[in-house]
Amino acid sequence: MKEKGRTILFIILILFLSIGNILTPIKTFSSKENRYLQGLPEIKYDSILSGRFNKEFETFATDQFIGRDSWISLKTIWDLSMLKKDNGRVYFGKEDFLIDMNKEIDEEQFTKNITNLNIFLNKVESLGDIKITALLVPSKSKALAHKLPSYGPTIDEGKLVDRIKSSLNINILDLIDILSKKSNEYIYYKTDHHWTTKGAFYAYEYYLDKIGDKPLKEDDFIISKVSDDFLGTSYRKANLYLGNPDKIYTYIPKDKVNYNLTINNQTKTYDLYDRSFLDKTDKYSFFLGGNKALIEIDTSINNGKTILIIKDSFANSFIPFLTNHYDRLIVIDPRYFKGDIFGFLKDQQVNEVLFLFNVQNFVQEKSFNIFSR
Amino acid sequence: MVFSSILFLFYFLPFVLVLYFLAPKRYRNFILFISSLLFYSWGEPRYIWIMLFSTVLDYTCGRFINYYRKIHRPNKMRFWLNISIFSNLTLLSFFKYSDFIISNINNIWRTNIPLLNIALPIGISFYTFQTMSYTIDVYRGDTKVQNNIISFGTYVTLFPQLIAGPIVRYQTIAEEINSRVESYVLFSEGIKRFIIGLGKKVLLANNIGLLWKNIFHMDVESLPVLTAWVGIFSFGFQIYFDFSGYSDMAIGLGKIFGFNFLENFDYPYMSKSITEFWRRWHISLGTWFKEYVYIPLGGNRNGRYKHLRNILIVWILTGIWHGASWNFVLWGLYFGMILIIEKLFLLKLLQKMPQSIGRIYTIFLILISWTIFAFDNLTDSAKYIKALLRISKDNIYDNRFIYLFYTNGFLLLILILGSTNIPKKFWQSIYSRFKYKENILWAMENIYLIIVFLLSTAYLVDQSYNPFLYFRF
Repeated sequence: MKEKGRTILFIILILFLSIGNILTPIKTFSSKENRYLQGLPEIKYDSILSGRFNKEFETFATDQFIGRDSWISLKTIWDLSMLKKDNGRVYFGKEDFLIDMNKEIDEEQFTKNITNLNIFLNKVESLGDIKITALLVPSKSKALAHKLPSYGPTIDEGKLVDRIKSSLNINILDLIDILSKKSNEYIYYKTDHHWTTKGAFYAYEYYLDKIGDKPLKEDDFIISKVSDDFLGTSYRKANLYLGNPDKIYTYIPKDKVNYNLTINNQTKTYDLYDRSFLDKTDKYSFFLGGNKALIEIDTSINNGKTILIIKDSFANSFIPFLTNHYDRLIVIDPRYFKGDIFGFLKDQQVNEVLFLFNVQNFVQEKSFNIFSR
Repeated sequence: MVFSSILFLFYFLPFVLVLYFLAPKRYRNFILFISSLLFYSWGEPRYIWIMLFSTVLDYTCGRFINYYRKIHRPNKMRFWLNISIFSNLTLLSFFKYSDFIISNINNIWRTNIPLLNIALPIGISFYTFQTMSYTIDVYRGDTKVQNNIISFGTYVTLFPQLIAGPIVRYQTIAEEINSRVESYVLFSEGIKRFIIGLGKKVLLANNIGLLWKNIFHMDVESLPVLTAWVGIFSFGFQIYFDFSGYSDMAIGLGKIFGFNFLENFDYPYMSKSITEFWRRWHISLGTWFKEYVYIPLGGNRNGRYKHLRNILIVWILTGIWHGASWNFVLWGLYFGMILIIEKLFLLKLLQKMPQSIGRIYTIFLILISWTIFAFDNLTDSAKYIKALLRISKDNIYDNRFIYLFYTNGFLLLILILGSTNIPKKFWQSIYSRFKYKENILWAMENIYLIIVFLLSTAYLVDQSYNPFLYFRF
């Protein structure tokens, strides 16, 4: 009798889930993962024989599993209750901070990047009077080290910066100390690996100070909240987050500056921010409309100064601050830019070059061979 | 297809169960046969022919052996037995060992014979051993011949034990192939067994596997001693819970369909000697080698020298059965040597000592064996063993060790307890003490099984969680 009960109980359980799977409509997109889900693969003779159909069907079965997101959350809840503090992608840090785990440093890539950069820097130096600076942004795991789970291993970015300093002959400003001192303020998003506008502001202050210019003060800006439901990349890596979503702020200078933007040589806009992204998953792309190969910003500051910024996505929320100080800003993202950076620089009468990268990204980014071309 | 997948649990299994139990008895073998072929061909459609060939061949040999027995022609009997053994071993060697042999030839004679790069057909090491057990048993008269090819095909391809054992000898289920009685009692036992196996594999083995993978990729030259030990314990737990979990699932599924397979594991990590360990670890493999290699070679009956020789032969073969590479040969040899030493004097010595000494001695030797097993070249194993023994003041542990230890501590505790019979004994004592509340205990057991099942499902769904992060930093 008891045995019959168990048999029936489990048959019902399995059939319920299995029929539920068949009956629930097929979803095409997962906004949580920001990717397309596998649909029902077509049954074709050769795709069955090659095993492709089988593979796709397995992905289909898992991708379309009934209540998929809840199962995934259940898994994470179980992990956390087993005292796990990471899921291989992110740390579940203190005070609801999600902190991306670092990948091991690829030494070969490190050497390659340094070599490529040196080739480029030598060429730029031959042009004469151009100020070159690298502003290196620590990862969240470094700047907010005390938010990590206790003893959580990370890469020592301080050591990395020292190695960069000793192998590149330019002015290198690292933000580790500056940002670590402010680590109790809201300088990095909790659910994204990027810094907040405030974090970028501190970097801006530091940078202008170091190159002998005078930064605006926080009071010189109107600070306003443009979003309070930002869930970033770390959230997606975590797949379970019990804290509040992040807020996005803008710092608009009280003394208005006019500018117009040329994006990839064509699109002309008049705004540093793309509000359409505030309704999408990828809200950090609000800043400068995301990563673009080439952005040229001409401002109403007529001081004749032109700066070339070579950068990764950390710069996107930083650049708006610089528009208060330069006549012309040229922003190149080497990951998307396909042209000849040096040739471009020569034609443009640049006074300053700024590299703005995350520390690890600076030595691990795979697109730097563009500098040695 | 593997058991621990959404595809198997929620598509294949319900489909087969419904079909099987709705069909009249006489069609059930046929349904199992066809669904086993589907199960097998899912991953590797081409290799299904090898299995079918093996089925037809051994079926034919079995019938010929039986026929010549009836008309008393022992030479012909032996001839057909040899055909069967030769073909099975040829299949196995060709698919599993060709490249190993070629690369060794290339190494020794500095030749340049190109490798064949043959993909290993899933489960071939298991089903060739099973079909050989059939023909040998028919030859010896230990089991009756199977005249129905569908029934024989059902035995060879039976999906519960097809791809990772246990190695079910034909005589074990000869009766059940022809006439078995499915029942609620068996079904419910089968569910329990299957879910426990699923949990072992998905919740325990896979998780501790992550820790091992993590430590495996660290620089072994600077590995702190404690990290190295936690690493090799993790590997030991991973392989045990993975393999025994798979056997549990196989045995459980067998019960659901009315088969009683023999046990394959019996708390091997509780053993007090290596001799005992191998009576408790992968029992079906040990039995196979004992029945079909060790005893035919003469076992221990022809004097000490031949006895030791037989042990060594069996253990080299056992090693190479695990994989076509020298580290497995060495691994087998390693156990062969220890078993010989134990036979000569150590076993007697161990019996006189406290049990805990025997346990520590056994676990230590097993863990060392896993370092040979885990790395496919001997230099890496040697380096790892060095890391295990490199005790110096400033190299005991580091921050990373503390992190890994406390975030996996709970899991490790469960694994340690789960490797012993303590949980089972505990539950049995509760059952006998609260006999009058049997229904509550039964309900608790079901709730436990449901939780394990749901958590395992959650883990399986999560495996495809693959956030797309739309920009590279």
